[in-house]
Amino acid sequence: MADKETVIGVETRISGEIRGEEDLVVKGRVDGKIHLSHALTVEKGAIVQADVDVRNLVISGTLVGNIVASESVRLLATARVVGDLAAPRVIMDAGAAYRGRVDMGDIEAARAAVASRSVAKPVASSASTAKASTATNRPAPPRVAPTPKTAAFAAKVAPRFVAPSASDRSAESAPAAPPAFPRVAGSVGSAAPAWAKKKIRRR
Amino acid sequence: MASEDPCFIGSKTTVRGQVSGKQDLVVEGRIEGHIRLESHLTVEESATVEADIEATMATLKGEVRGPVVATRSAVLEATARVAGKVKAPSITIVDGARFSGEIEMDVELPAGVVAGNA
Amino acid sequence: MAKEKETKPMGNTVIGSSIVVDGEISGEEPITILGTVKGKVAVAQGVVVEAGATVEADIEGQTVTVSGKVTGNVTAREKLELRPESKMVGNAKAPRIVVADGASFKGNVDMDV
Repeated sequence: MADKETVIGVETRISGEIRGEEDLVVKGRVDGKIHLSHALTVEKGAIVQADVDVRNLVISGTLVGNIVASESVRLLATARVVGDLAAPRVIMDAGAAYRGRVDMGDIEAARAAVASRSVAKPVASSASTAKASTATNRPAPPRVAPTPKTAAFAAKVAPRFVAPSASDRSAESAPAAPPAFPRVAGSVGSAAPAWAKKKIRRR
Repeated sequence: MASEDPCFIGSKTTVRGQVSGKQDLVVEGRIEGHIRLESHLTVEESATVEADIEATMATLKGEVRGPVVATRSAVLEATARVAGKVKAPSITIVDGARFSGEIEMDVELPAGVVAGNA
Repeated sequence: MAKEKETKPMGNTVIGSSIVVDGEISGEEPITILGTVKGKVAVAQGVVVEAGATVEADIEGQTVTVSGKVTGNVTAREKLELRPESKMVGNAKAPRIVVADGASFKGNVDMDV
């Protein structure tokens, strides 16, 4: 029987939850949820409509759902992905199509190391709001996003993943602390961060 | 302006306000405000840009905070540290780049797949 | 990744031994189960439940070959085979059924398909 690799063949469809401790290659279709301690590969032509929680993820096909990867995510040129993505390492090849929020977690650690400016927003709340709950009240990263038009974008993007599994995702997705990007402006807490106010510090 | 030489913001220079034009722009220093270019923006590794950015192409190698809208392509190189929204028809993230924010591209999904918000 | 396929008699879909699928599996190609499946399996071709595998589901396939454990009703359009060491609890419906010495089976049998 040779290789112990799990393969969902081209003409196979699985609807439900897949869990496991080995690599999984999807060439067919999976709807539901995938939780692996190893690597998931979504081949070109495959369709995965599922929240995914894995160690590594390589996508050449279509994936719609929230992604948490403890090591890396790579979108190859034929990838088409819609959903939130949380991983310490993300690679997106030219040609990949993606829409959603990206959270690389330890950016904040890198930032905090560089400057002791108002790092503000520690983990706490972000952990619970890790899922895409719109840019505005998210302590998490894209504080920069929220101009009115981007808020509209966020609103369009956000409801998409009502991420049922958001809670356990957040536990894994925010390795250290969610990237509360220290903004020059100091205190973060406000719902409409600096960018929304669009204040140009002008003389 | 005009001509082929890119506009260059040196590493010890800070610009606050609006920067716009049709010339390529290479930033090694700091910009806060708005950038509107019909050309190629390069944010070098030493640079910090906190601005609303609109450009035809954006090559990011430094720190960028702010929405980035590129009409043709955006590339986050390995040394990039980017936060905010990035919107472009083509986006490349090189291994090593750090990014937190939203990515917006048109994604054509195959028939039978719904983008979740249904 | 196209290394298997065609030559591998066990099929194009392989559910590995540490994998648990909780849901429905359907498809038009052979499937080999080494892990655990709960729910339903309905495929157009053959289903192989290997030794060590656990299937708590109704199974429908062209042929169904069991060396592991199946709890559920099995419908095979061509043949159902229960190998030695297999265990099945459920109703079996197939025009041909082979129950090997050592297999354990509990349920109804309907060969009038």
